Amino acid sequence: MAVAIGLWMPLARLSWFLGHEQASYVLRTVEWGLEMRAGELYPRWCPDFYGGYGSPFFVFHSPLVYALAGTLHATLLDPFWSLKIVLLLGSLVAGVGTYALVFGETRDRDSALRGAVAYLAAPYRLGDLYDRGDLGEFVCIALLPVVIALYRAVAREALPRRAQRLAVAAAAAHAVLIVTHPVLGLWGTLVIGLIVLPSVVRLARRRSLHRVLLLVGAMACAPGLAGLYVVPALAYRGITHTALMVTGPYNPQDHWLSFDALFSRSTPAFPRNFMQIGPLLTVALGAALLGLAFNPRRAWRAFPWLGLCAALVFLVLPQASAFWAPHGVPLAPFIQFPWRLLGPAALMGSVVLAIGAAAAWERASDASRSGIAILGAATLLFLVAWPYASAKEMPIDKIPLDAASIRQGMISTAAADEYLPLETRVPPSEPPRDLVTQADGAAVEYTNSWGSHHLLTLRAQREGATVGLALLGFPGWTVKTVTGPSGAEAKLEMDDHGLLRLRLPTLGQYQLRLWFGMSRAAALGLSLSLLTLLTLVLALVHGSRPWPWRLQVKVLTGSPP
Amino acid sequence: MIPPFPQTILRARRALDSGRALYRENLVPECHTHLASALSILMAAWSAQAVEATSPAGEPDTEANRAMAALERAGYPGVERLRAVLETSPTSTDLDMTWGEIERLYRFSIRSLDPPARRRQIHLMAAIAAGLALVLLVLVLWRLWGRPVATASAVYSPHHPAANAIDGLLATEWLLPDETTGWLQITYSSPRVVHAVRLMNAHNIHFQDRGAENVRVTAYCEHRAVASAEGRFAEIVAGPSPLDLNVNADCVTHLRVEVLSYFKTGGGLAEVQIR
Repeated sequence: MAVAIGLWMPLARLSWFLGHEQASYVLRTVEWGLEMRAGELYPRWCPDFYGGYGSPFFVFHSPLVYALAGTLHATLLDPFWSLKIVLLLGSLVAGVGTYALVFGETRDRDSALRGAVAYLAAPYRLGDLYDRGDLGEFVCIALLPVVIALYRAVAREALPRRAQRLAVAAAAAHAVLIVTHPVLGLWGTLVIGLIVLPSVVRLARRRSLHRVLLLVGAMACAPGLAGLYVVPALAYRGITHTALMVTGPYNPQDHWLSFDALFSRSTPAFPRNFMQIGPLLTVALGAALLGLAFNPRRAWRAFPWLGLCAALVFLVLPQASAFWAPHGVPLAPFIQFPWRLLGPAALMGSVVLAIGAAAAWERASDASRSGIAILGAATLLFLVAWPYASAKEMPIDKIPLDAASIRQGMISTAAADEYLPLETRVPPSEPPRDLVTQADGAAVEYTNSWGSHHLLTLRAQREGATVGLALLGFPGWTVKTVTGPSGAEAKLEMDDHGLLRLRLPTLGQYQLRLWFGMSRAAALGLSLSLLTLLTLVLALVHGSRPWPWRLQVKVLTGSPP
Repeated sequence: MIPPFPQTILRARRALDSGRALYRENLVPECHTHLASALSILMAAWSAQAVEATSPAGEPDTEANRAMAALERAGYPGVERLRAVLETSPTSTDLDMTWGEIERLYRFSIRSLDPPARRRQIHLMAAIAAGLALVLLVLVLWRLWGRPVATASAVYSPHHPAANAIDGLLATEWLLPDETTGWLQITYSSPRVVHAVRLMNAHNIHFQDRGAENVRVTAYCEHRAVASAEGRFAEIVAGPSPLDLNVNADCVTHLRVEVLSYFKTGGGLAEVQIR
């Protein structure tokens, strides 16, 4: 934990830091906080992006970092410190999670320390924060060891009640991982699946069908629990410009790394090459081979992890370029940069290093084992982590932190405007003067906006009058006619530019409430999440005092009823 | 001789831990042996606990029956299940049921060992933790949705946001961009009564070059304007510069202050106070 805090400290000393993402996360946190204060528990609309035309950014971007930092910002802190606290938590979780994972594999505290420090010191993990500024991915790869540790614990736990609780915790942690980063949530799930699969096979061969059910059920529950985010993100992907995410400069086939780049301190693209995973893997391989020489019975366990690590690193090399081709593996090109897999690869490398070292020094005395572990950890920190644990100060004077300033800046925080609805071919170029852009056969008597909530009083001077709004159309916009002439209700439609338009069917005054609420896909996702949550709660209480009766699963085991 | 109950629990725990360690190494039969040993230890302990307990009528006075009687008296919820486990020899398919019962009995035994004072202490601690969590939740909810929110048509810079006009500090100001009129809106979490509004003018510290001149305050109840008043600041002054407006209304959900004209380079307000 001290190492995790120490490696986060450079961030604490700065107002904000200059990463590739610049102030994007700060602006999104501000938007999340403003929407929360406007009454949205899970905001999906950024009302001030594109000068006030808005953006469905949070429909697609994983919400965890914004939810934590946004809540802190809406209640207590400025957005910078809110994000810093989330990142500190991420750093701590990475350390504690890796410690738990390695301890579960080796039952050796010294090796657990060695593994945790190796992962905390991994250049990619630090580069994700200080160079790239991709805070979502940083937190996502911090959660990965926790989720793997929990699934592994489920498979290895003899006591059924305890295994049941661990399975529920694993499913919940896995769901949190999925809602932390869209790309690594998906790839992390694949890595977790590959790690869980051998355990499932082993348990099935032993006919422990309860345990198989528990593991597979937990794995299945995780995406279900994350349905609140996953379902709308998948459902509405096709009605935005997300195709731009995998073309041009974001084509994953152009972002391979040469083998040399895995070992060099700097590359032409990155003066501080945070993709330098080579030294860690070399040390890990050395430790595994050393372990194999001294203690093969224990050291062989490092090799499945090593295989997975090698497979992940291979996908980063030019030889794997075909894997990332468009129309090949579904959703694979959305990784954008295959070197993102170096995060999970660094974790696998740290586990290999720890298991190998545990095997090699198993017969050494306690004192010498601890001494070697501390020396190894210190070496990793000073030689590997030190050059990467620093950041440049970013001046915060010009960062807009309120709705009006963000609107004036015509900001979207999406480099390729990928979340712009398809009907809007070109992003708006300047902020609208008012909420109502044009009125055809109607007079505007009153408008009032608060985030994505709007009140309008309109008077229709003819039947079928229309009122154009400076809001991008997207599933989720809802209009409610508070009062209308003889029960007539205003209708919401989209114009040729993808902007919202109100149609007033009959003459008279309309008092309207317009807001970005829950779309059909969001409602479906929420239902799925609630259903999964209910399943997990039932799994948690099953066998406990509130529900002591045992479920009959003898049909599965083939025993007579 | 049977050792005292707490020591027996320790022995049972050791057997359970050994079983779990063997399971981790994939040694299932060896694990079962240790877990079964834990069960025997616990049953012996319960049997010894119940000195005065006797076996149910018609059943032989065995250790298992005495333990069952003692467990029944202690309120153990799964006596029948435990009896079934003891009577059957588990196959590989229902080891889970047997082990689950052993785990349940172990947990129950630990709970039974707790003296009432300690149990009360645990309940008290849980109640305090729940109380603190509730207070924290209320605080968060109030911070989220209990405070008024200020929004504006535009701001001069990120240092002069609309929120500066309701932060209670005269030193911070909401300023409009150069040569622009605009509005500031305060939205309340619930409808409230307003008798009067005091506006404190901006002056833009160091430069003394900005401030509102003519202003209009309108109180709204949802879609309806319920009260309105206009006023004028005489000039920009370095110190506090109040302007009291008579805006009297019930059910005010939001208040809009429009800057209709300004002094020198632009408009702004230091504070909006409601009475």
